[in-house]
Amino acid sequence: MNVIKGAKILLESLYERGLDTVFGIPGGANLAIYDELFSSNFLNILARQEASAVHMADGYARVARKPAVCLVTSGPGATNMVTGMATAYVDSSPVIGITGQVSTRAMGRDSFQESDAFDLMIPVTKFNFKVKSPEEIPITVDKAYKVSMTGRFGPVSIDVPADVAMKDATSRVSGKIPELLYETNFEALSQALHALNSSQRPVILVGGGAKWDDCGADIMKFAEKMGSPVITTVMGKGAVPEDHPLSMGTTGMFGRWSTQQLMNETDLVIALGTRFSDRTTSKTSDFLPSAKVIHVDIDGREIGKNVDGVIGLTGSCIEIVSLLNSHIQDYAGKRIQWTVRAASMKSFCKCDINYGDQPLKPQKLIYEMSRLLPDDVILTADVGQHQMFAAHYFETRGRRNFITSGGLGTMGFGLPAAIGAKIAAPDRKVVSLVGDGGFQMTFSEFSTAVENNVPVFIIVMNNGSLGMVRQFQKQFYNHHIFSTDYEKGPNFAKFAEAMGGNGVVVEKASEVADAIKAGLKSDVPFVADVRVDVMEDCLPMIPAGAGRSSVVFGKCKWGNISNGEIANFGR
Amino acid sequence: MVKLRILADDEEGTLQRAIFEFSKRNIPIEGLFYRRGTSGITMQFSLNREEDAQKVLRNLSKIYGVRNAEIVLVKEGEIFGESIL
Repeated sequence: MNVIKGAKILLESLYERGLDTVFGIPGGANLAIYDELFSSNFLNILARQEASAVHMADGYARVARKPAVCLVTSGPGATNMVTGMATAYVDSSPVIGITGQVSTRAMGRDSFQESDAFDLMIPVTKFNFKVKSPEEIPITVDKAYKVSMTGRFGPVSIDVPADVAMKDATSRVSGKIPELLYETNFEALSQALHALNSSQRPVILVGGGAKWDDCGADIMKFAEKMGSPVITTVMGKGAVPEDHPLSMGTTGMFGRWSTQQLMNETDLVIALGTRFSDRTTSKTSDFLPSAKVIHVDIDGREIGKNVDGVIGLTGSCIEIVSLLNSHIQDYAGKRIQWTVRAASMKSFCKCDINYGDQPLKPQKLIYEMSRLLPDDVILTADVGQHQMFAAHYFETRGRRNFITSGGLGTMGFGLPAAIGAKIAAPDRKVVSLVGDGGFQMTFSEFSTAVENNVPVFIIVMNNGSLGMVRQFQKQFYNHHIFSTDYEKGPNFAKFAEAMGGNGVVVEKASEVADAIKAGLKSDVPFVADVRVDVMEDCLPMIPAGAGRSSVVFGKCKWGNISNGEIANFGR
Repeated sequence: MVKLRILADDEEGTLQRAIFEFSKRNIPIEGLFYRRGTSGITMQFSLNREEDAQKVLRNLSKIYGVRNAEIVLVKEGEIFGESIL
């Protein structure tokens, strides 16, 4: 038996499972692992803060559809990691987080940089492990990989005390890749088929689960056969091409009002990989007033969790969509009236956002991004107004991917996730749309991008404010704008140059297109600091917890037409 | 009083993870017995309301390493089906 150090066993165990990229930061308790990393085949990315390292691993995992590794030290390294792991957990991303820990003899003594990483990670991971000897490491990595990739993906963490990493062991790395099993339950299949065949006005609602399965083409075939419009949640955006005639765009709190109209009228929703979050349903008693629901999810716990009385099918979206598709009749020609009505609503919803106004409107920026970004772009969106403007207006056509922190809503996610995504897909353009608030939370990672020659393009929708919070203060707190506007905002283009990248400031509508073209051409990380109108709110919006009737339309033209006119759409 | 019994592999953290499933849903735990044996671990939670037990049951059964989670009838003076009198 070879004598191998625990740290080496750990890295070999990970590498044997096809994991070859590590995002992290070294520190006292994980130095033995970093020492082995030095002579390994791993690509090592040195992040500037641990939460960002996890976001990078998360962005990588969402593009590569396999786990990415994040390696941090004990104490503050582990506590900083929590936000990243929580983000990955809520969005079902398979990150494997490894925390160094103080040595076993120092544990429990409030030692320097000691934190109880094991217990800290429990609520934000699918499962987590603590290794007590180097011999346990291969089986622990096996388990971690299996848990993260089985059924609904999710993050897993392993706590590795320093002495365990340094100790020699005689264990050999297991070469066995665990079998990937997931729960299936098709007991309600005949009930589901009956509902599909008897529906007059079906709608397909696509969530983030469908993206992990990469089954957009199958969903659109199903939609065509069903004669059914397709709506996405924010997390599902990018799963299906939005230039398809049946594709209606994004729904939810800031979604297209046409999708709300259709959800109000449908008699059957086929929900694929969505947990019906409050951002999708708003007030649940107002949601889907006259529809049955077929709920397809890989996680049986989600069936019936937020919406009662559903017909539940548990399994992967790709498998179940294919199963349903092979069992239903072809309704394409029989639901013409419904599809024509959906098309006319979609058409009404297409407003002209090619604004030439000064100050520059956020919608104009999204318009130009939608027009100019390549059809295989990966767009990571941070969290805030810009995210909802993008969810609403940006068209994900072709192979465009849309990655965002839709569940936890973690500001600062956008840039590091873009770095991870670019490393996973070096041949594709990766653009990160961020607000000036979120960008400042993790913009030190711009330096990481420069250092590692990762040419991401960051578009800062800069309104000098925490825009979404400001919008809430304006709409729901009597215009008490407090602690949301920045009195002194940085020049992000100069910041980019100072860090070794390039940048440009955009202040006029006429400058937007050239800035986007420059960013796409740049072979170094690039920032377009786009100064937009702080007064422009992201509307329409259904206030949190409220029903459809409380919608704030603003200048959305749906607010100006009568129910009678809406009733005649497509008729 | 409703009793929920969980049988699981002996993985560190399973007890804490089970407790989190209650606390994250604001479900008070009225009593808890825990036993570590050669074939794994057994936990028995006492709750006031059956609907709380139903709410948390599926989530408990999905914890990695949990072999079975069920609502059980427990006689007075018994833990895990054995008399403590």
